[in-house]
Amino acid sequence: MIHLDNLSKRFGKRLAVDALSLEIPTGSLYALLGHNGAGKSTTIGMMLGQVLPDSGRVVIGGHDVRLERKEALDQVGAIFETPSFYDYLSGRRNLEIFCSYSRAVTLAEMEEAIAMVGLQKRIDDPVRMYSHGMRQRLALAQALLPRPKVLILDEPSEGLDPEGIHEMRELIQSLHARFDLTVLVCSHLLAEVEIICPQVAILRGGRLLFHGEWRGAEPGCASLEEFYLKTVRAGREDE
Amino acid sequence: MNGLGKQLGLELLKLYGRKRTYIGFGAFLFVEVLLLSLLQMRPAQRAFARLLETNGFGFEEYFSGLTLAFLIMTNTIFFLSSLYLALVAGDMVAKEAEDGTLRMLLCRPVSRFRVLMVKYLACLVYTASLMVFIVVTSLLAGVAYKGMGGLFVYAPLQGVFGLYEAGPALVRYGFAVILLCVVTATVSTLGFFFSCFNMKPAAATILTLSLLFMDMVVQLIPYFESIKGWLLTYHIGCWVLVFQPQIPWWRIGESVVYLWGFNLSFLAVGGLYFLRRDFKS
Repeated sequence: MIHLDNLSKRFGKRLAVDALSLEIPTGSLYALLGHNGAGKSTTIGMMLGQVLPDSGRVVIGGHDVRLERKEALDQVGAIFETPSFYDYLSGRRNLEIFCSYSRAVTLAEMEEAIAMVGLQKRIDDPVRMYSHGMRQRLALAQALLPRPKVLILDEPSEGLDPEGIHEMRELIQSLHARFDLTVLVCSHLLAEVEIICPQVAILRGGRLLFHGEWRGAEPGCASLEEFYLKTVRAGREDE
Repeated sequence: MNGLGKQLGLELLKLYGRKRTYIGFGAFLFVEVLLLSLLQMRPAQRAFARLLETNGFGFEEYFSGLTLAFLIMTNTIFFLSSLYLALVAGDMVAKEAEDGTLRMLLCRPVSRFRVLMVKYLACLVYTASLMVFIVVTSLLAGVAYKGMGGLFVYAPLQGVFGLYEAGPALVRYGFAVILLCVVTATVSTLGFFFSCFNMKPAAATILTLSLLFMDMVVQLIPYFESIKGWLLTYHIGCWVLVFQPQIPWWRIGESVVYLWGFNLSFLAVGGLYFLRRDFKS
């Protein structure tokens, strides 16, 4: 579904992403892991056409993001680490604004997305009155409009309380199951990723250290945290 | 894909939904009331009477609502409208980039060019709405204070001098408001241009104002008379020329073409940068 082909990006002297090639299969729950500055956000930025790669390409659903931007991004919904909204407008108005740059969304589709994230009662309130968890849910609602095939979630549980983290996890899993979405999660919360994603890609210094099913890939690793740390340490020794 | 009309409508909703958009409107109302209050003072009226009577015209007839409106407009439009147009235009892209909402918009299946075009159109609508507001409220305030009367026009910088009955004067005001919308778009375009670059909204506003005020200073220095024709503020001031007895349409046309040549160049450069810019958190 998402195909990254030899993707590189440099900011000044710093190589943020180094010849990254990765295939994220259709319908998978996939996580992009790495320390701060590993190149995760830059990679996501390139997937969404916000960061222009120096070389390589991103193909989503058979469409090159740079050459066929509309066709490629028409299949994608995304949320960012700190979702930003027009705080002085209502949640509904925000959804209308973001959706106006996609194909037309029917009222029924919008109501369905609002219901899916459980914001029916507060959707007409100004966003400045929303809690962090409600903002995350609103972000998810805008990502679901119009119905995407791929969900890219950058730190979806960032700043949420334990209950909020649990709700977000259930929401992601149910959306994946209900609509057969391809979900790419970018997160530092390894315990969460362990529950949600059977497949991971681990980046370090812009290079891909590992990709695929993490369970069973390394003998003796019972948790994703152990596997991650072992992989990253091995990557450091190779440098 | 939704139509341009819907996107522009929602862009305007965002723009007019913010309180700071109305600062310009409020400031002009305040200045209009302030100037009218100051013009009630005897020294101000004596100076005005002297100017009229030395030219052989009656103070009572021409110290009127229409004249006061002109006085308010000529003395406030350049400095105040530059400030508020630069403030709003400087926000258009830079504020959204700073707040992160631009990233949310740009992950939608839409070209960056389209996003920029919608924002620029909204910026032009704001410019026009502020200009119409200034002219209409200046007229209303002036007429409410001194009645309609005749119009006495004196603008030494542009070399304009004229006297009009109420009917022809209102026609001139009609021309002025249209021309103001067209020429002050350059201030907005300049602010919008800086806003396309990777900078804080305040920086875009300050750069716009700095450039315009430097341009104005050069225009006011007599030694630079020969280069006046190259200055933006010289051409922006052409709206006053519609108050000349014989309107110099050719000279006005030249200014409009010159300013829009600049506008399109600013837009092209800012747009090209915006299209190639990386957006990161």
